[in-house]
Amino acid sequence: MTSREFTSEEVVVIAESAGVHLPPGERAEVIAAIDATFRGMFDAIDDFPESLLLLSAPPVARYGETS
Amino acid sequence: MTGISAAAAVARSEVSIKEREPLVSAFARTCLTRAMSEAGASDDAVSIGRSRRLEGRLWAAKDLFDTAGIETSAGSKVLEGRIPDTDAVAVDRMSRAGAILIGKARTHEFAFGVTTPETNNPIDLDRVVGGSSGGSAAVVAAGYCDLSLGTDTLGSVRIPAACCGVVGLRPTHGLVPVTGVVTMAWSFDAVGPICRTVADVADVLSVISDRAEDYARDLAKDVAGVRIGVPTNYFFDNVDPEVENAVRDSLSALEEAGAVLVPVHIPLLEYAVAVAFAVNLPESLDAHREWYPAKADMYSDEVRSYLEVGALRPARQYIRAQRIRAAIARSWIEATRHVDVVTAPTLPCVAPLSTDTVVALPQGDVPVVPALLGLNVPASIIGLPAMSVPCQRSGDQMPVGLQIIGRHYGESAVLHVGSAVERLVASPRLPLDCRLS
Repeated sequence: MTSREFTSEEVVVIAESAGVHLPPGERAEVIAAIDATFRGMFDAIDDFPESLLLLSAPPVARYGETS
Repeated sequence: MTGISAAAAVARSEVSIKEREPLVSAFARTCLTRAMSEAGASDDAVSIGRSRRLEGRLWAAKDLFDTAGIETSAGSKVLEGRIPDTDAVAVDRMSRAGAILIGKARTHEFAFGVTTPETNNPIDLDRVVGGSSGGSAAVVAAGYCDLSLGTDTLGSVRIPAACCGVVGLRPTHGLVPVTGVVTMAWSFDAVGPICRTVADVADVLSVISDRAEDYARDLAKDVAGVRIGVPTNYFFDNVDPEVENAVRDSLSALEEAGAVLVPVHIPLLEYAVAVAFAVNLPESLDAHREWYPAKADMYSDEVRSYLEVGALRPARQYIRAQRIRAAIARSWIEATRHVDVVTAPTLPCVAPLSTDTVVALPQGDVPVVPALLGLNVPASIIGLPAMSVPCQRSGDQMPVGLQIIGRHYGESAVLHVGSAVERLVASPRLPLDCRLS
């Protein structure tokens, strides 16, 4: 699954849901653009093969100590 | 600055700071009057035979560490004028060991960055000092003091150490308390020493660590039989030839001294940077909840934008990144099971020019931020100890950092190999006057 880029209007709504007030306009457009530059990276997370994920690894502080 | 009284060391440092600081700008603020007073008490302690491990040693703390009575602003207008009532735990441990604080070293704002733009590299003033603990590396490289503390989230101790030709250690995640240190991202943050020598790093770690261990005990041992992993993927895939040559020359020197070089292939590392950003940005947003969005207008555009991008990341993606992180950790541990340490370049290049926006690497131009972070991120996301040691033989060239990555709580092995590199490669130290001319 590859996610799509956000519009600046969507950025305002999503940010608001995360407790961040981002008024519509230039700033929301800037953030949408920056987010888009990270897009390839974040898509790599979404596209990571399911078969390689661990089923029982808790997100503990020291990740190497999972069995 | 050993072999002289603490008072003389403070006086000498004050002269250096007056001469060089207008060019280097490594300090957010100094506290030399207080330091001179503490130096007197330190010299008294020595005179009656009550010397402690770091007695009279001068040091600087990154401006992320709380210092009682001294402003701690994390390099940001958001915290300007903030004066803590108490010391961070690591600062308190340095003081109790006899070290004398001479100032607060500059940080990239809230540790979000790899260049520390207000500070210039003491070795070449036109180049970046690295970051985010850029001031902590610069105070050592400029000769103001031999010891400093920084923090390493995704490389912020090792990157400036490599840029400035000094030694910087990121300890195992959780080994050194972060209490009283402004948080960047809780699951990555580590407090670490940046010093002139490996022995200094070992001494400082012995003082600030939660474990009662003498990390200097193995430094003089030879490296015969030590198994050193040399990655066959990721770490050398896109590295400037000058850097690769310096690193491989150092590995050859270790091999000639009896160490065993073992090729290691570590799957999944190509996901490391993506995982780091997907986890770090939302964690940072949460760490800033006291100030953001309440003081949003006081942040630089750079840091504010990172926080806002963090706000856009869905929880599903954060959790998935954490699961991938665990898979990378397992992959690393399995692939490196038969070696004592893994070695790699700290950076794919020497310190970039301050005007550079990209770094020219064999496979093309890479923006400065991912270029400097890339080789540091694996140890950060797995929570491993990792140290950068200078390994450039020629005094005419910029420093190159050799990164030594250990097992969890394997700091002694990392320091042991680092000490050998220091002896065998003997990076020439340029006279300060030449560096600043």
